[in-house]
Parts: sequence; structure tokens; C-alpha cells
Amino acid sequence: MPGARETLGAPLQRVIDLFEAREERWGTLLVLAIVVGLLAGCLALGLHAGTERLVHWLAPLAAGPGGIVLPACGALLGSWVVVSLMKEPAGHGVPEVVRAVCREGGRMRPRSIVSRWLGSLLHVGAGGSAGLEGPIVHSGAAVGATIADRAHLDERRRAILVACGVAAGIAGIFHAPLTGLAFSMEIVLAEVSALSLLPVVLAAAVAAALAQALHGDSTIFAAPLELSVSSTDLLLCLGLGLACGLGAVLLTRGVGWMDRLGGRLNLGRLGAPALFGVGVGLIGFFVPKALGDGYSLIHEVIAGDLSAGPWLLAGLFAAKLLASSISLGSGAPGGVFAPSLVLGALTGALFHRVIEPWIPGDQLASVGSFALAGMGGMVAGTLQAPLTGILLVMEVTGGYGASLALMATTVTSLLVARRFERWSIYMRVLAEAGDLLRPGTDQRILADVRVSECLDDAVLPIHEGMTLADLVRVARRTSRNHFPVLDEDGALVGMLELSSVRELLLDPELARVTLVGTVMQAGGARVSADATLAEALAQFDAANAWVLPVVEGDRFLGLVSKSTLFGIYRNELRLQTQEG
Amino acid sequence: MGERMDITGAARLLGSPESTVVRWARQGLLPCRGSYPELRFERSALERWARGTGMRGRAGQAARVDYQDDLLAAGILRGAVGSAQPTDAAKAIGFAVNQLRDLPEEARQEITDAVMERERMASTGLGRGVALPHPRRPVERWIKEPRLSVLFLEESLDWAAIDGQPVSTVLLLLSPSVPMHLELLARVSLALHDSTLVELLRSAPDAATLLERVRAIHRED
Repeated sequence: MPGARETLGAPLQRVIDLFEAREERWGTLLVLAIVVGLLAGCLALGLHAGTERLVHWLAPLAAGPGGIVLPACGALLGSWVVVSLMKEPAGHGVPEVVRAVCREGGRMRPRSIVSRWLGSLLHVGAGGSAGLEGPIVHSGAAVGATIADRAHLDERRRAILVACGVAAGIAGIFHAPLTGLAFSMEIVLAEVSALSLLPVVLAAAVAAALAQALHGDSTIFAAPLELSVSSTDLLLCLGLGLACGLGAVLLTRGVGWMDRLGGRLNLGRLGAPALFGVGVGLIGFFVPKALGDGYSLIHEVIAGDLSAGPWLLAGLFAAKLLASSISLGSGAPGGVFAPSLVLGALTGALFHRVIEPWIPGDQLASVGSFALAGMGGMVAGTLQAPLTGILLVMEVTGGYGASLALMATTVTSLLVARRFERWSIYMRVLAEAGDLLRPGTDQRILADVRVSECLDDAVLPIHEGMTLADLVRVARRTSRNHFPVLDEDGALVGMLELSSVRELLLDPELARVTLVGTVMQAGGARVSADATLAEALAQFDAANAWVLPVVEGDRFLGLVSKSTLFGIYRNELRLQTQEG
Repeated sequence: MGERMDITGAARLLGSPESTVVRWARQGLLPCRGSYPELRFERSALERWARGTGMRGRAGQAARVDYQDDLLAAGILRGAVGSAQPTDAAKAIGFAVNQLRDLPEEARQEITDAVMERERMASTGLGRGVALPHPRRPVERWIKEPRLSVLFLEESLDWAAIDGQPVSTVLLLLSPSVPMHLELLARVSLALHDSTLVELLRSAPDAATLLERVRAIHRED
């Protein structure tokens, strides 16, 4: 495959060729992964810096009475950018990436690099209670897709570069390369293969290194953190996991509920963000901490600076839950990652507050530790990505000492969440639309291919009033065995299989007095031309047939045979799972 | 503990060849005990497996209607043999329907209408003095098993037959389904190739004599 050889310079190409592993274009993929990592990392850092600036700049406005409508303005403007200006579907960003990888071979439009980036900057900067991670993931993925297209890569490699962009985005935000890898594997690629692993790791590492270079050792949580856990805590982590799992279900259902509410009120794609934004503004008026992406709140909780009793913490949790549900459910651009971190930290702190009186002081870990474990648990429950949750906390605390406790929390949370919600908040919309079909799977192929692609239209239809003697004359002109039978208006009334009347054809007397209409297989067994392979196979099974007529409405188009379907299925399978 | 079965039983239950069942067992895809050739299966486990994997087996393939029985003789026994002197083909068909026993009036009417509908489309006069009236589509409501009504005409009638000959034997064919109708036609075809039978028909035999010849033809086949 040419392409990269034209876009990159000759000396670079020679360097690549040194590392090129056979015909796999692996070397190219690694180089491009680094490029994607750098670009996505820049986008991640840029969005955070930009949003911080905007928040700072709008602070005086937010403090005054105008603060109630500020989130609404941000939501409206942000949505306008995404939906009207860039003409993209509203959404959190991550589901769109997953859909692109599942159904469109990772194809994304170049404008996706900036659409949600800009939109969420405006929305979250003005106080919207959502995160920037989803939009960054979306941008990074689009970067990967665009570069893959420029280099003329195939579907599989494009999907890998998209995963690189996703991993780099996450890694850049949290200074956590392994977390980026886990996120892109658990959620976007849904596979780890020899081919995909190294490029994604490379991209994530590059982005994290870039972030490190610009921000030093400080992470998004302000300073490297301690996480100390004792054996008592291990048991408590199960309880925390339960709490996180339930919290995750609340968030998932809350967002879904608001989404449906917006639909039922029929506000439109700009009306919903605007109206819901006023709701967020009202909440923010009473609970300012519930606004924005919430990282400063997380700092406070982890550092133990938030002096609040259990009721206040619960109230804060409820306010943030409501605000995030409204912001995210409105369709304004923003992600669910940060809100789940905030809610997780609050859950951890609340849990700590509640347990504190019952456990002697020196046996209980700090509130910060519980907050961190809660964050991991909530990510595991909401995104149904346990590895991401575990690695995130491990990487931002720079240690593996609490790994057991973390695992206990995250796994418990995931199990609890899955008990109530089959799909994560990302996947639910996709699963309901039937878009969650991974390439190369049976379900995907059966959903992709249409009957019209397998149609055989070189067929001679016969009339139901014909005698079998007439049929003999027709049968001479073709080698086919199956004949569609039409009535005098040309509508399909049945099928005749030659082998079923073979003996009769040999008796001229009987053949002359037997009508096609009498001996045909009458009735409705037919397939629509735009039916999928899955629907067609169901029809074949129900009719117990090997050949079925294909119609468009009432009009007969041709025949489709099970054996042709098999050949096409096999081709499609090879295409979608190509290794080379 | 459910019913135990061996490879053969498992293959039959799953509707798949024995070699496939053995392969599945070897690949760890199928719940089983022991090792080849002493593989043992348990019915409920297999059924659960089949439901869970959506295995439909090949038992669903339609087998061709293949009867060892003498369908023609059975059809005549369930039908009727008689003579009459109708004035035209339509009345002949009416007589043939009415000589059938155990049919309510509604049934007779419906069947007669269906047969007449077919007759109007094209003549069922075969030639050699035989006509084969039948409904255009099986009258499933009233006919559950094949029935043949044989009517000998004391005076042959014009039936617009292919060979222009008048018809003296009316064979009314009633079948419950298309495959059965096809099978019956094949038997009729075989019978009418027997010159002895065709001669016999001209003599308007009684039921016993007719059945004897029909059975003899079937034995020879």
C-alpha cells in the first residue's frame, strides 16, 4: 500500500524501513502513533488551560445574579457550535467514537477535532456540570482518524490510530499513560492484540510525557497523593464498592432520565441545553461547588480540606448528581468522566464520615484515601471500565500499595452496577440503536450485508395459470430449479421448485392438466430487498427453504439462495478480520 | 440426573451428524463425560446447551413425502366408486362430489365450487376417456386425508379433452396438501400407464374389482 511513502519525506521513510516488520506497515503505524500522541496531548492540555482561563475570566459574572443564566448561555453556545456550526450530532463524545469504530471503520470527520473541543470549552467554562475528558477523547480520536486517512491506512490500522488518539487524550489529562491505554482498550477498541498494543502505549506515553514537560510532576489533582490502606480497610472497601455501584447506577439513570425528559418536552437540540442550563444555574446559585468539571472540589476532598458533616456531604452529592444529570442529559457537549470522579470522591468522603465513629482512628485510612478509592469505584461503575478506574488511581497516586483495596472497590462497584444496568452510560445509546457491533463478529456481518447485495435477478418468472406442460418449455431455457410464480397482475403468489414436480413433468398427459398454481408452494415466504442478512436467515429458517423470492413492496425483484448468502458471508468475514 | 445417552442418541437429539458431535466433544464445546468412544451425554444438559447456543440442527429440513402405502387404494376406500348418467361435465362433477360419504352440505358446496373453478380455467380431460377434476388449491378445511371419488359415466360426455375423445371415467381427486396432491398424481400417473387398468375402467367395474387391480399395480411397482 502506498501513501505514507508520499506524505513523509524520503529520509524518514528510510528510517521507517529499518524497523518495518514484513509487510505489516508496523513501523509506519508506530511513527504515526507518536504523531497522534503529540497532537492529542496538546489538544488535551490546551482544552484544560483554555477552560481554566474562561472560568477565571467569567468569575465576576458568575458571582453576581447573572450567574444563574451563565451556565445556560454556555450550554446554548456550546451546543450551537457542535450542532449548528459544525453539524455534528450532540452527545458526550465517547459513544460517537465507539460507533465510528464499530460501524464506520473508525472514520471521523476532521472537523470533529475542534467541534466538541470548542463546544465543551464554552459549556464547561461557563459552569456546565460536565467533564472535558469525553470531548478530548473525541478530538484525539478524530486526530487519529484524520492522520490514518492521510496515510491511506486500512480499517484495522485506522481503528488503532483512533485508539491512539483516545489513549493520548486521557493520558495527557491525567498524566497517566496506562490509564489512557486501559480506557482505549476497555471502551473503544474492545480488543488487545499484538498489533494494537504497542502503538497505543507509545501514543499514551508521548502524551503523558508532554504533559509532564509542561506541568511538572503535578497532576490534575494538584499534587502527588498518598493512598494508604490497612486490612480493615479492605473489608470496608467492599462496602465502599457497593456505595459506588449504587451511585453509578444513580448517575447513569439520572442522565438517561433527563435525556428522555428533554425529548418528551420537545425542546429541540438547542432548546434543551438552554432550558436545562437555567436549572444548572439555579443549582449553582445555591451550591456553587456543583458547577464546572469539579476538579477543585476533588482537590478539597482528597486533601481533607472539606470540613463537612455527613448531611452536608450527602447534599453536595445530590446537588452534583442533579447538576450533572441535567447538564449531560441536555445534550450540551461534555463528558461523564469528571462528574463520576467528583461523585466518587464525595461517596468516598461520605463513607469515611459515616464509618469514622465505629472504627478506631489509627486503623482507618484517611478521608483522602477513601475519596481516591471512591473515584476508582465510581469510574468502574459508571463507565463499566474497572481497569481504567484502578490504573487511574494508581497512577495519580504514584503507587501500587493500595492495589488490593482498589481492586476490591472497583470490582464490587462494577458488579453492583451491572446488576442494575446492563450497559454503561456510554454504550447504552449505542446498544439500543443496535450499533454496538464489533467488526468481524457474526452479528455485525449479519447486520451489515443487505439482501439486495445477494440478489440474483436473472430469473424467469412463470404464471400461475400455466400448465406444467408449458413449464417444460420454459424450463428448457434455463438451468435453474426455482421459479417464482406470479398472478395476472404480476404480483408474487408463490414459488415452484422443479424437483418437486419432476415426476409429473415426465407424464405429458398429467402435465397438460396440472396447473402451476395448484402445485406451487403458495404463500408469503419472501424477503425484502433491504432486509439484512440476519432478517433473511430468519425467513429462511421459518419457511424451511433454500431459495426465497426477493421483493420490494409487491414487486418481484429476483431470487436469493442460502448458498449465495454463505459465500457472501464468508467474504465479508475475511474482509472485516483481515490481518494483513 | 437426567437421561443418559450415547453419541448416537446425542446426535439424534441435536439433529447433527455423529462425527460433528464427536468433534464438538473433543473441542470442549459440548457438555459430556468420558472420552471417545465411550462418550456419555445427559439429556437436560444437552437441551440446555442447544437452547443457549441457538443450535437448531438439521432436523428441520423437510423430508420428501415418501409413502410406502398404497395411497391410491386408500384414497378410493375413503372415497367412493359409482356410476351415473349426468347430462354434462358440471353435473358429472356434482355427482362425483355427492357420492362421497360423511361430508356436510357446506363441504360439498365448497368443494364443488373449488373444482368447478379449476375446471373453468382449463379442462381436466386427460385423454383416453379419463378426466381428473380437482380443486385449484387443496381444500384443507374439509379434506384431512386423500380421497378419490371414481364415477363411471353410463354415457360418455364431451369434456373438451386434449385428444378430443369423450370421457367415460371421472376421477375426482381431493388432497389435504400440495405435497400429498403431487404424490397422488404420481400414483395416478403410474396407474394410468397400466393398459389393463385403462381397459378395466371402460367396463365400469365395481369397487372390489377396481381395488384389486389398483393394488396389483402397486405391488408391481
